[in-house]
Amino acid sequence: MMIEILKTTTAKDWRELLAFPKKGIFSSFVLFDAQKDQRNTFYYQNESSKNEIVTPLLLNTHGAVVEEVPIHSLLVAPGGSVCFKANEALELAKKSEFIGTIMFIVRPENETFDTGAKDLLSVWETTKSYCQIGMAMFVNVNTPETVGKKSYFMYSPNVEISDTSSSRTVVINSSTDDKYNDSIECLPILENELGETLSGPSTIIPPFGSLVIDADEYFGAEGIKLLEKTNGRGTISISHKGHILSSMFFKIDKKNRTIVSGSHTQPPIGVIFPVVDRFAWIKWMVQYIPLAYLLTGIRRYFRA
Amino acid sequence: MFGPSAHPIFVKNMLPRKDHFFEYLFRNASSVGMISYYMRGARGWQTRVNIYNYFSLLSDSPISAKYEIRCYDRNGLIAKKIFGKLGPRSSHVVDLAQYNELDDFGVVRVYLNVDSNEYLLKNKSYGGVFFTEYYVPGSTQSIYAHSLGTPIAAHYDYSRLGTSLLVPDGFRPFLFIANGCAHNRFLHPTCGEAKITFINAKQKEISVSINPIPPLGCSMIDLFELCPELPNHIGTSIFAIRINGRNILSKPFMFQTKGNIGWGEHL
Repeated sequence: MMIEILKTTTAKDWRELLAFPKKGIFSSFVLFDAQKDQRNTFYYQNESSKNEIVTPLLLNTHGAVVEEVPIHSLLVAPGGSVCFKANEALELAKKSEFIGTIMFIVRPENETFDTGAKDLLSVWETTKSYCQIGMAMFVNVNTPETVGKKSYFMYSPNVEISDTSSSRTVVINSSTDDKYNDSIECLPILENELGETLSGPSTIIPPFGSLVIDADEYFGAEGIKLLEKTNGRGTISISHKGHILSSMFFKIDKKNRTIVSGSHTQPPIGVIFPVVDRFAWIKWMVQYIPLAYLLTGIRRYFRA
Repeated sequence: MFGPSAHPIFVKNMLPRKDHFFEYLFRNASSVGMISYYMRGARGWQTRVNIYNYFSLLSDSPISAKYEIRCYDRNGLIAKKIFGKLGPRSSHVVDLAQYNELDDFGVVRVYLNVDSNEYLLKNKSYGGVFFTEYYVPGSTQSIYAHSLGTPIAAHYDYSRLGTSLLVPDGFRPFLFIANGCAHNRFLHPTCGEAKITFINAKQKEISVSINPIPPLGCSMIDLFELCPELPNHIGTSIFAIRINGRNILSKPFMFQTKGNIGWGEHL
């Protein structure tokens, strides 16, 4: 399926791409070293019934666009997909190494924007490992309407420091607002399984920038010592009020710092969800009482 | 009770026991838990369950937590219950490889609750956000996955579209799919049904139905065996899966393996 380049935007003007009222963004992590066996590929498929315009762009950890990689806006028909091979793009740009993020900006060609069922598939691959993470789309994040009203409580659950492995947590400060200019201060806390904690250095993430926490290097010898008490395992948490950040965590091969596996984080507040059903007690009862599920017929009758 | 970094929504939902004694008595009754899938030997993979006391994180105070892990076999019968307590900001890694009672694969359900004599969570169901790590013993290979959803004591229609999927060259895809009906099993019908549709990059579709699944039962489906045309249909291009059915647990999980290498992601 042919993908048509609609427009090329200069690095200076990239924020214009966020000025469209109907759009969504995806953010993910890019790790490139020309000397290392690690490939980064990102896929987006247009599952809507309308044409979409998709623009992938690379940002360094300071939030600046990689100027040497052209910013193409691509017209993607329904069912069509975009595959962005970050290694190839960075090699063409004569980069020897890069740590940062990729942002996919997706908008409709016309008025209607179907925001359901959209994922950015991120793949980090070596000859010995393969890791995929599906990242969900943000349609309204860190805008003037939401800043101050949202919170970011993150825990990275699989922190492990051993002779062969370490853990990397990536936190991304992005926005759907073209005028976004908020820097965010983050204080990562390392915790072992006993609940003993070590506060790491506080770091400021610039707008559209990212924070990469390699557990063994970020927390140093003290962090290694803390986790040694519990088999080298623990967690990292960050609490922040006012903004939403996206984050993911990885297991990395300690020798060559390549990604082995990973996942995106889950908001812990997901533990609480409202029971808006006044017949919730029936649901509880039918879990434990044989044949009580027949009562759900009575419940349906009352609902009707 | 709450520290300066407490989550505002969490603070609103913690109630003192003295004002809500009746609710306190039944505080566990509305706990529905969250689920994921485990492998114990299936294709050579094992599972660790990572549980974290995020009540302490959300309240920014030294709240303790208690948990129960229920492991079901592929037919939905409870194979093992594991109990534990978590101190403030602490975590447990429970390696399921040590429990011989478990099936090769199945559903794992985690209930996590505040362990307090003074407070309870207000009129809510308690899930249990947790993570699993699938690993191959003796290697550095692993797959991280977050918990996937909640069983519901009801019968319901199910529809889900998983997009931007890929089967890399040489990998074999498996789909973990379970019945999310939490009704008592006594004389209960096998009520989980699903039709799986594979939509390739040219928007062509192939559909196959799977065998019915009992409540909280689980199938680990070899997709190339279920649908022999699938390798040619999708190739190594991006594709989508649509699942339509009844009482399917949200969300199904795709696991792919090539020798010792594996990866997984939910739909």
